Amino acid sequence: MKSQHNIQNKVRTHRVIAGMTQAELANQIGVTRQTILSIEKGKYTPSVALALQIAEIFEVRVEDLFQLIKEDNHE
Amino acid sequence: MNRHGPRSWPFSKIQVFSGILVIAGITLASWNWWAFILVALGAFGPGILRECGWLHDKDEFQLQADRRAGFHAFLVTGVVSVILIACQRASDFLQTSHEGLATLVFTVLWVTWVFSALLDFWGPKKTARRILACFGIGWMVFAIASNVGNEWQGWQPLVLHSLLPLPFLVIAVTVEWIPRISSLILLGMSAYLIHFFGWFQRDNMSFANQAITFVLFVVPLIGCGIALLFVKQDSEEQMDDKALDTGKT
Repeated sequence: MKSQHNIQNKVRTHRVIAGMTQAELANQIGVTRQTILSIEKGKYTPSVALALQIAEIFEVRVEDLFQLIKEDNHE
Repeated sequence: MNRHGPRSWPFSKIQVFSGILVIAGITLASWNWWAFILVALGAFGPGILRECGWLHDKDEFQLQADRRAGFHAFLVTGVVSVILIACQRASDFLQTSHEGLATLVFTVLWVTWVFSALLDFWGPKKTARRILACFGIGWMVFAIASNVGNEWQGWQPLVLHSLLPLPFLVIAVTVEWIPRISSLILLGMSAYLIHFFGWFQRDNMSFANQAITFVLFVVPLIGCGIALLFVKQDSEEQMDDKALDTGKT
C-alpha cells in the first residue's frame, strides 16, 4: 500500500470573497499573476512563507487555505 | 518580477538586457568570434547572479520552473551527448567537426531549458502561443528583409513569401479554443517543414549544422504539438484566466 498526499486549496474562494483580482493579490505579496493562477489551479504548491503571506492578506489561518487530502492507493 | 498587473510589458529589464547581449553576441560573432562570449553573459549571467543571491527578479514559482528546466536540460543533453560520442567513436556516421558537435550540444541544452521553463511556468497553451507567434513573426520579418535586401523583384514575391508563416500565426490563435486539433495540424506542418526544407538530406550542409537548425526551428514546434495533445480538458483547465482575474467568476 502506498499513501499519497494531495493539497487542496481555497485561495480562489477567499480571493473572490475579498473582492480581489489575481493581479492585486500578486502585487500585495510580490509574485507574478501567473504564480497566483498556478496556485489556484493546484498546479503549484507555494512555500510555507508564501502560504503564510497569503493567509495574512485574507486574515485566515493557513489551514483554512490549504488542506492535506490523504489518498490510499492499493497496489 | 512583474508587479504591475496583467497588462504590463511582459519582459523585465534583466530579460531585455540579457536578450540584447545574446543577440549582439550572435550578430557580432560573424565579425569576431570573441564577441560570442556575450552570449554566455546574456544566457547564463542572470542565472549565476540569482544563484549567488545577488539578483532577486523572480518569484519562487519562476525559480522552481527554472530549476526543473535545468534538470530536464541536464537529462536531455546528457543522453544526446552520450549518443553523439558513441556514434562518433563506433562508426564513421558522424564525420563532422568537434566545433559543430559542441554547438549542437549547446543548442540542445539551451532549447531544452527554454522550452521546459516556459512549459512549466506558462502551461502548454500559452507556451505554444508564444513560441508559434515568435516563430511566425520571425519568419515573416526574415522573408521581408531578404526580399527587400536582395534585388527588388516586385510586390508579388514579397507578399507570397511573407504569407508562408501565416498558418503558424493562425495556429497560435486557435490553440486557445481547439488545442488538440491545433496540435495535430502543427505536428503535420512540422513533418511537412522537414520534407520541404529537406532536413538531413542535404549534401551542402554538415550533419551538425542540419541538426542545429532542426533543433532550433523544428523541435520547439514538435514539442508544442506534443504538449498540446496532453492539455487537460477538465473543467478546471477550462477556466479562463481573464475571468479568474476579475474575481467575479
